[in-house]
Amino acid sequence: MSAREGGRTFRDYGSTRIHLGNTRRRGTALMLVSSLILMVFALRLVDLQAVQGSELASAALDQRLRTVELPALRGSILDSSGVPLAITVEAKNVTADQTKVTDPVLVAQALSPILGADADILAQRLTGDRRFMYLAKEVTPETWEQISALRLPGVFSEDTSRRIYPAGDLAANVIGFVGAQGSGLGGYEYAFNDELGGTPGETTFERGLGGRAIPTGASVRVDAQAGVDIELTIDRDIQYFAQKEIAQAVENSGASDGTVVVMDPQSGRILALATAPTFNPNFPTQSEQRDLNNRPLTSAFEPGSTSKVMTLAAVINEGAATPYTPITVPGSLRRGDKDFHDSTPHGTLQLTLTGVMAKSSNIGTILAAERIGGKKLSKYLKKFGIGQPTGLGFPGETSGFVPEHQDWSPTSFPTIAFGQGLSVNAVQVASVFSTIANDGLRVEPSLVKKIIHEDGSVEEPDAPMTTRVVSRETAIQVREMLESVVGEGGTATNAGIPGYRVGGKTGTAQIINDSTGRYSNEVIASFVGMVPADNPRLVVGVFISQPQNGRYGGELGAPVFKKVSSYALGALKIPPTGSKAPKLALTFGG
Amino acid sequence: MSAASQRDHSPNQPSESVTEYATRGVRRRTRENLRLVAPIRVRKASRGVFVIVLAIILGVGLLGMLVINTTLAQGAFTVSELRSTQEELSRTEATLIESVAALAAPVVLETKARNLGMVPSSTPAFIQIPTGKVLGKPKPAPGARISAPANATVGEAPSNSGLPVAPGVDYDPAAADAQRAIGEWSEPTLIDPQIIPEDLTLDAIAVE
Repeated sequence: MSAREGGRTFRDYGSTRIHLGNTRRRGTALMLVSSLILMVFALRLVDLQAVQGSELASAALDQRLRTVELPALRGSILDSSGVPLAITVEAKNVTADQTKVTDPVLVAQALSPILGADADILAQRLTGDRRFMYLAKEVTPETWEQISALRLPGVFSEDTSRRIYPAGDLAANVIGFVGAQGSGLGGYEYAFNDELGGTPGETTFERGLGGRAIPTGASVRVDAQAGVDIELTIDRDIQYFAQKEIAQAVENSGASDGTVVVMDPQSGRILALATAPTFNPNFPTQSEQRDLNNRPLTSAFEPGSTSKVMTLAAVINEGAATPYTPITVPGSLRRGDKDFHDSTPHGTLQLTLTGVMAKSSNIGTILAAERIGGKKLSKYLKKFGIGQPTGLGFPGETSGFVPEHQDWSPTSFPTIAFGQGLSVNAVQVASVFSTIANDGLRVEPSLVKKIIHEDGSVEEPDAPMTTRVVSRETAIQVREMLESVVGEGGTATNAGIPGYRVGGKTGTAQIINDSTGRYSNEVIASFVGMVPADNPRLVVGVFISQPQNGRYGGELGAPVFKKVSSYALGALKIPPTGSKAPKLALTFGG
Repeated sequence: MSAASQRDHSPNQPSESVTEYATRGVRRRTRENLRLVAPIRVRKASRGVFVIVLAIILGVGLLGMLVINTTLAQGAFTVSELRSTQEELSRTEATLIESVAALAAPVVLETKARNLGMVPSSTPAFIQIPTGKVLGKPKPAPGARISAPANATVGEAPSNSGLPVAPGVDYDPAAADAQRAIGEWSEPTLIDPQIIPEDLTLDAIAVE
């Protein structure tokens, strides 16, 4: 029997009375306690969710978000037929986590034959506490596959890229080279670094534990824009041949350096720009600093007799003489305080203007130049491009120098008339002859044919600037005179190519000794020619500096011209015109 | 257990239900033509059907989830496989581009040509087709002359020399092209197989 007394329940079992709990009160108490606890939870939830909610969410997002740069693929440099001369390829950097390497010596021994590195050095790099250490940079993916197949603990890879020059030193002086960072340090790799480099992109994603991207998380991706490809005007076969021939000529003559320029006079495009010694852009550090330059553009020199083409063209253009005009040439000529001579001593010669060109007479040139005066000559020199930038935009190129007419001394005029006392680079000289070859119209030289964007669109540079320097009639007459240089009695008979009409001019220019400031005995032997002379499609200039075996332009420059031109004529399929060269008289009178 | 049911000990009453007993008083007081309605039998849905329906819903749901998860996993697997194939193919393409560029280098071509015994010509000359007129002044290239076998007739190469037959006077370019199209091209030989990976065959690569 149970009974209730005052809310408390009792149960009587015989004489014992047991106190039982008040269920109602217990229930209430339990409810109160649990409500209290739940309220704490609720408050905390409200606090986290509502009060600190957005702040915490953005903090968490920041923690998860990771931005990775997407590198842009560097553009290639191509030759005129689209074959790559400089390309970027995939590569791997081999890295090590030193804390995970269990046996550095063993790992080093395994890696040494694959990487071609000293096992001791590798072992050193594998020992320590660093979590990230480079073992080898820019190895090929195949090399990495060999390494990863060994499953060495602690050895990882990093994606990177490598710039390679598959044709070796071909046109290296034009292309340039890149540094360790992959950005250009010389040549067009440097001048066009921004265009070639493209624009890197970036991808931002939410990163979960372990670094993986959360698939449904926020992600923003800006694609990288690959760099443009640059197609040069350089023909790789003609470039190769020219590089080979000038390297051979420099070696045979014991010269300090040599240069060959091959141009298309009608378009101004440079088909080959070769120099020796040169370098291999795959290993730029193996060459001397001065050989890393593009000598045809960066090296200034006094042109010597090749400059007579400008002087005589100016004289004819002004109507002051014709190729048949007789010029009495004494053995020596005094102007100002100097006595001027020709390269071979002679008595008084009765030469026509053509004879002056063919025999490269300094005195004859001075006399002819005096028919138009220094001021007019100075104007023509400028129009021919002397002392002006070539327009190629090449880093380090020199504009050459010719003093302003008002600064000329009494001996400046005669000296400049025959090509000393002014300085030029090799391309400027070739450009002068291209102007004569192109009927008197100077076309600005160019090295870049087109720029190809990532999407395949092609951008061609603006049409080159043209300048009318001399009339077409003048140019035709000058070309005929130049043919006599290569013909019988001229200074460059070994520039002749059987079956073709060839015209050109030799030069044997004295070099100034930098320390004494006086002309030394060293020379630059040169020959610049054009073929076919009656409708020139090619201009080839050869410049050999400080030769020790041989000295004259006709002796050293002309044979290189002949070899390079013969090759280029065949490569470009330029047939002979079939006409016969006129035989202009070199002398007059009896 | 209601106390009322315990007190029903009257022996004269027939057996009546609890409800009839409880409503005795009410029934006496109300009209006779009212009779007791049969107690409403609550039709309970059978528990078994309910369980089966629930089980079906659960089953379908679970199955659906399983299918979706499997498909997702399958897709992720395919994606990763395709991605690794793509990476491998890109790498192969890059290697091939590199090889071709290296093999196209003029110095390589000259070395191969010289190894075959070829020499460069020193004089540019052209043959005008179809007149056959020679432009320029050709000279024999320097180097040893390869002599022709004694039984060769003028204008024809001997059949076992391996050289293509020199075209004679009635050479018809169109016919020669048509003949070639049928399948006379021989497969180009790989110049240096070490540079090109060995497990690639020519028809495995789409040449653009």
